[in-house]
Amino acid sequence: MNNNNKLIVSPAPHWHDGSRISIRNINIAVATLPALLVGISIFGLPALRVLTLSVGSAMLAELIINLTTKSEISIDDGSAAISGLILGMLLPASAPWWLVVIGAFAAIIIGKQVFGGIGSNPLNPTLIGFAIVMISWKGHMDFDEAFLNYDPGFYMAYPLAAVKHFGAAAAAKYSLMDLFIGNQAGGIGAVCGLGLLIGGIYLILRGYIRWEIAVSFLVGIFVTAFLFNVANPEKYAPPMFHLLTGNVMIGAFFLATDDTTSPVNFIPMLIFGLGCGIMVVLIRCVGFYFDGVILAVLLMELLNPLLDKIRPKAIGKVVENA
Amino acid sequence: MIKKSFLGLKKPELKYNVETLPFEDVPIPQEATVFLKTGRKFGEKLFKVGDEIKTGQKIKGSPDSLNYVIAPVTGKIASIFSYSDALGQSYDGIKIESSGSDDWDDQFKGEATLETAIEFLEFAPGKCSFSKFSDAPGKIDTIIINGMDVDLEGTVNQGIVKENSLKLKEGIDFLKKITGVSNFILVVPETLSSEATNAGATVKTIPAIFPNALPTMIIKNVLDKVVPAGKKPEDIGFAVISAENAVAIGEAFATGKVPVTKALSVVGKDGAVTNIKARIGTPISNILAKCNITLEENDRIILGGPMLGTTTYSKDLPIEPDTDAITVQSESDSAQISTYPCISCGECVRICPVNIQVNLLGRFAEYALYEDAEENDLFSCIECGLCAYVCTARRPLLQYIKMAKHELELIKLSEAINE
Repeated sequence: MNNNNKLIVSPAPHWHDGSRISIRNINIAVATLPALLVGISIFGLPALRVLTLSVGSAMLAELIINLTTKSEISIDDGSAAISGLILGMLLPASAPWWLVVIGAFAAIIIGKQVFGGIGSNPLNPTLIGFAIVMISWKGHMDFDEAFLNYDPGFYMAYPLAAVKHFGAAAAAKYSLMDLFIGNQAGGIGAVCGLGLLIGGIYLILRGYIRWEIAVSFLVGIFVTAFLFNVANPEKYAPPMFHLLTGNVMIGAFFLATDDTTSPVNFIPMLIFGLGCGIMVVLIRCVGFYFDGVILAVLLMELLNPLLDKIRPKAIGKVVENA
Repeated sequence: MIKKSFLGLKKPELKYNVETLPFEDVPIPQEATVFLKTGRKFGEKLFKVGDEIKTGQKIKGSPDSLNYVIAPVTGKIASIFSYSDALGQSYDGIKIESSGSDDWDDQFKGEATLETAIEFLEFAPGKCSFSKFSDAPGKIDTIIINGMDVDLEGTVNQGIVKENSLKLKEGIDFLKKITGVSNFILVVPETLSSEATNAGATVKTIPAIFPNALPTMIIKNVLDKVVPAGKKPEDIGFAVISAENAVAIGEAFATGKVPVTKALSVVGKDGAVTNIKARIGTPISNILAKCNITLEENDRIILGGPMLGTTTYSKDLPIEPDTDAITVQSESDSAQISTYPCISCGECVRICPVNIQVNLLGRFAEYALYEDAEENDLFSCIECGLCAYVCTARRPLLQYIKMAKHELELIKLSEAINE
């Protein structure tokens, strides 16, 4: 036996279940594929252009920050790529290149890196990037304007805008099946509810996102929309219409479930999801914006640290003055 | 190493090894090393290089010191060196050159009293501190005999319950006599419930899933009592003794010889388990040679099991009375930890057996906010290591937690000195 073998010393435990941030992100990327493929087939090459540009810009932004702050290179964990990918899925296929680049840079730099990088961001970087471009360049982000000269072969008016302007009667023009399989105007990866549902179920089964958040988000939307619909069926669209339009499905499985910015305990997760759902419908029905998903999730993420105060009591905890 | 299952909805289950293997003997080593805790006094030591030592002889640093070790072999002190453990506690390493045969020391008379146990048996395999019985007489009303290895893979206690249930009964009888405690509970996995009935204690079975064999978990699951944060089992009237220790005590009083042989499980790089018995102080290299394990560059030698064990830096170091297992791991099998920040995925929170918010606790401990860590249930932690096992960012969470506990202890100690 060779006497000079060097041994490695490391802290316990010496086993690990093999999970990694990069594996987690690869799985999220895989889960976006069904919705992405449908999106690309509907919107064509321009959609692919937006997606690749968005992913690339996000990774470039992360790399630039890594190099300028002389920190560890962190683009290999895939979280910047996922932020860029989901941002691309939310954008219309017609988005100009500079808008995509600005959105991706804003997402990574303002949304994540100014707070200290992965794990330190209080808000989902994708949502920050999207909210910035959504508020700054309304024209480019208006789906009716974006698809003005575009005929994919189905009714192309943006459903949520139609409902906002013309009341619940407009909702009748859309068949729920068309909305579910992705024949509607919207973000590249956000239109196909079916694909997002498949991806979401995959992530839930693999344990990468929490069903509590996704389900309570959808339930929150359904119940609130149902109440509005019952109160005034002429003005407010039926609940299923709300579930299948805009960014609801991508929100339920890819936005609200973001690790860092969502709660970790059971009851807070339910409150978080329900709160997001209720806010979405409130913004849509009472508020100014067509689609409330982005802003609703951002709002609930602000509450996340407070929600996680609702926690089970640690075993053995001695409560003084109780 | 057990990896995450494809479907992640279910919590991962780490099963204890319940296969019991016979024990093989490792010959008496040429050199045995024991570590004696260095007292605060510097001065003439009671032992020096060249002293003749008998098997079972008590070695002390100074006459009034309470710390002692028991010589596991007969021979001469070959060298004395200083050694410090992972937490910085310093020891005198005493290397004894063995003469090859045993000449038993006769100080230990085998008189079954608590004083004798404190005087001679604290270094017995399994290491139990008997002073907890004498500190507050009558406070401890139940002794729990742990018939399971605390860590994964090892089968020492299971093997002893299977092979020696009558000797276990003898040990329990002596323990009854010296401590005055009449309530004994023997905790075993389901597979050993029939053997365990011979031992003369109330038998309780627990599911063989980690971390159920940890003392705090036994007390919670079997006795439905909760050890308050920062307290030890003995503070609420329980003492936990391993089955191996109970058997060793029984043998000591029955034969009049201080036990110096340690049973341990050796887990090779391929996961194969060998149960062996070796003298305390036997160098790790002897044991690895016996089990045909060859070391390569960048391997890890873990004293203990894969979840709780500590790695060591040299194969020349000895096994100690509390070394229940030696696990050898190649570099590709080891948990590659990182300094990544927490991404709050919540895996640790969901798996924590005592409901700690590990995502917050880990952050506080990492950034030296120890008081905040204490408020976030630092002392509820039972140090099972499951949080670090499932951590997506591969943070060394158990290490952060242990460090925070250690630092807080130092802070409290220095405050006490300043007052």
